Amino acid sequence: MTPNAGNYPFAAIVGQEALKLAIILCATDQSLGGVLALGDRGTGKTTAVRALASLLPQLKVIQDCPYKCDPQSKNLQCEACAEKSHHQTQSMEAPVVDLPLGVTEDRLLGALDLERALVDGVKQFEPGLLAKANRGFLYIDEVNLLEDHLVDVLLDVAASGWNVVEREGLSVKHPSRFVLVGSGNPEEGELRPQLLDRFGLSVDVETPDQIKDRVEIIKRRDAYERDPIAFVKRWKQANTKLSNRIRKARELLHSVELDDHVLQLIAELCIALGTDGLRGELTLIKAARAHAAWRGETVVQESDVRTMAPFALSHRLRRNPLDDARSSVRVERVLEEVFAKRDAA
Amino acid sequence: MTPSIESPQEEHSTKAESIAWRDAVLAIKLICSAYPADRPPFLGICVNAAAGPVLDRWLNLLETELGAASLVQVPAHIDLDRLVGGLDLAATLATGRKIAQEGLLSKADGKVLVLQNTPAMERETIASILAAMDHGKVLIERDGLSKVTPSNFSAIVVQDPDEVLPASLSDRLAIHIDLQSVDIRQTEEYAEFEEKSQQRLESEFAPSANTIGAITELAIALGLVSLRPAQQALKVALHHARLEGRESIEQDDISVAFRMSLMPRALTFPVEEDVMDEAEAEPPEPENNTDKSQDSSIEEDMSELADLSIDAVLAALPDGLLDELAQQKRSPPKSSGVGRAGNTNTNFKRGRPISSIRGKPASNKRMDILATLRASAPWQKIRKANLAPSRAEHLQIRSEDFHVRRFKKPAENTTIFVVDASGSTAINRLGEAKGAVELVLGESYARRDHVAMIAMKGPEAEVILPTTRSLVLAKRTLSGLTGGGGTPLADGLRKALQLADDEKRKGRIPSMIILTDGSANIDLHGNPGRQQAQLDAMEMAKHVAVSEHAVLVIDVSKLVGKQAKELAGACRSQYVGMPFANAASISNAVQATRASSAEA
Repeated sequence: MTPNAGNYPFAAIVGQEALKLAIILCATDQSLGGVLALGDRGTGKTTAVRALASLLPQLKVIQDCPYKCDPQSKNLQCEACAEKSHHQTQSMEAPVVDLPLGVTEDRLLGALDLERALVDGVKQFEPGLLAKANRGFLYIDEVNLLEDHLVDVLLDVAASGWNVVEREGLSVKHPSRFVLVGSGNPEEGELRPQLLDRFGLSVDVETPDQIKDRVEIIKRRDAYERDPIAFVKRWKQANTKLSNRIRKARELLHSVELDDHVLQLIAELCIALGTDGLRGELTLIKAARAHAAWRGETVVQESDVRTMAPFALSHRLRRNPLDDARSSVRVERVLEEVFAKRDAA
Repeated sequence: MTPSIESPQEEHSTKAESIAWRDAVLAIKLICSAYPADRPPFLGICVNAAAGPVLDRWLNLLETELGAASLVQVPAHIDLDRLVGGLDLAATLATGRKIAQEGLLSKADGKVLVLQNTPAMERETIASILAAMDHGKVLIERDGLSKVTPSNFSAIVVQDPDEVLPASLSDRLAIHIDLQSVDIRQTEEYAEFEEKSQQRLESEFAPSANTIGAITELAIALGLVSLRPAQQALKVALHHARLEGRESIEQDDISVAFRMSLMPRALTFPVEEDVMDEAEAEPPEPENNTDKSQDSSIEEDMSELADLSIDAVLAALPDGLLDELAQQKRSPPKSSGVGRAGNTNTNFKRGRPISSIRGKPASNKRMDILATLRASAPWQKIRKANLAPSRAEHLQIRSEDFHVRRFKKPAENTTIFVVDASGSTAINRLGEAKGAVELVLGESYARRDHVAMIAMKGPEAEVILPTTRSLVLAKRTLSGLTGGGGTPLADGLRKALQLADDEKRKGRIPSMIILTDGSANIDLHGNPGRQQAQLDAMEMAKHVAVSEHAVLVIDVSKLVGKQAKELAGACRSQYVGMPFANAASISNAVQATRASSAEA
């Protein structure tokens, strides 16, 4: 799906600061691992995620490559592109691909093009959604309802960044690096821990509790539904501003420095929380760095870590059925403790 | 508003009933006025009604107004292929070109989708319908086909009073009407609305800030935290105003929106029974259900925007209606406390299709035609080369091309907790029993098991948590469980057995975990009496034993008692004494129980 120009503008979203920050940072650093937005019905999760498309800076790709290979990095190109030494390039909008729940495996992975095979006798690979999403975003609404065998496929590809298809006499390998964005309502089913862990950041989405905000949301929604084109136009400037800031943050990202004492803090936090595996630590480092870049700074502060820790860690805590508190609350608790100890020292 | 005591009882009820029918007819008018020129998201209707002449009459009226061609029925057990669309195999083979087959959701574009028996639908079916509802289009990514088709429709959902709609669906329906109290004789009225719908206004107008504020406040006052109800109510008010030929939303339109869109979904009630007379003008308080933290801020904001106050809206409602609605809500159906969610998971196939593999079709293996074709496609040239031209026209398929569908094995478990929450347990052991349940829940979560919960307290046992996979729901239900009353042990066993049998029929492996001290004092017929109760319990225990489901009895009595041990014996089940039970021993016992049931 090409990003729809008529999508609700990101800048017009009222409240939802946490979700907006998470989305922006994932757009800033695509290697962050994406966002998982969990929350009740009618909180505007989907609206925010879909508005993402309107923020993304343009992508430079190799012309006519079905996988939108990056002309800059040779080792991330598909075979056909890697063989050639010179490329024509073009710019295009970054893909935001919707993964509908009824998707079949052949459309996700790609499969033999039946029509070409039957009519012309040509064995040709028809790329699937994983190809389409390369270098962009893959969005799964109701991610907790996704069938297990599709989740397995996603996990494999997300881990390696390559989609390897060996079926129907085809042997294809193509790059598939995408930012996974998921949303769902936890009341309708739990998410597999492996899939949970795959998301870089997670956000608990709640409805705004201020009447004023709620009225504003409904007003804007009504205006948007009445005349989407005019509405998008009205917000264009604000949206472009955001988009430019993301572009700047991307450029800054590589020069952001991280002191040892910040690394130490991150390690302390993860130990205190008992997060499984190293992914939490790595993600928190990246997230803090992206947050600094987003602020326009080149040195990560402890406050960046403080802000990003709940995003990066709350979905990685070991489940404790005896602790009733939501995991974000637990992270908050430990944060208080760790910071209090540091201040005392 | 006059106090309801003054009006004679009978007159009052007839009046309220005919209001229900009038609203039901008005709902049709609203849909018609919105149809088909509206923009998404479309108004939808939830009709709470049992099958019968009243519902038939309403559906007939709908059909007459919209035209039969505009109604698209969705059967409960529809395949995703048919719903979402896919490859038309016959046409594809005949032409050699990829031909798409439209699904019902594409066919429903510009029409009205009618859903019945939604609790029987697969989660994927409902989720696909909701996705189309939200975006006004269907994304087809199936069977080698990638396509987007428009799918703008209004949904009309018939809800049987005994069933609970999936909450995600009910949240997306703007208008909620109830035909339960309507008598067939009352449906003669308000059947004419031909002339009136003529004067509907075509022009567009934007609602004022005050109107939006008032509707948002109303939604919050009723505890509707989701943002959708307020948006929908605004839309209902807009359409009602247009229907009346007005160019602005007035009090009347807001009270219609309130009555038909917000009120029926209310979680909290701003008015008390005896505060019905208008003398009481204090602002309604949003209580429980909404977050405590919200209250203060809401109250502050409320006075600011109260140009159109809630009181005014309430005052404009017909007499007695609020009373009646509030009454209904105060004595909610049995599954109180759980909310409306959680019933989405009740239906499962015996196995879900997973990727196909090479193999010959057999009685238990269905051929996957598409995969078979794909396998044969690369060989067509070679195979045809050696054939006579007359035969070479046909597709050459060899047995080695055959692919069969695989289905995931039904290896899903359901753990049914039967918790003794009677007065005797409540005092000292209920907390520990809850702890034990949580431990097992934690494990169930790791294995993605389903859980269900039955509480034994008072005159009869109650399924307080229908089968679900949501740990969130299970924990919420558990923490909401309070103790008190007698111990209907026999009834608890009976209900657990029914549930276990149901689960088995759905292809899952049930196991029961019974937390009790084994002493019953309510018999199978709900009568108190220790002796009969104990006899009935032992009788039911024998049924449990015969059923061969896996059972574990956890003794929650203070001292290890005889009775729980006897019960375990009668059920032929494992037994664990709570005083010695810790996390490890309980989970070991559960594991052992499972293993034994898997062998059986």
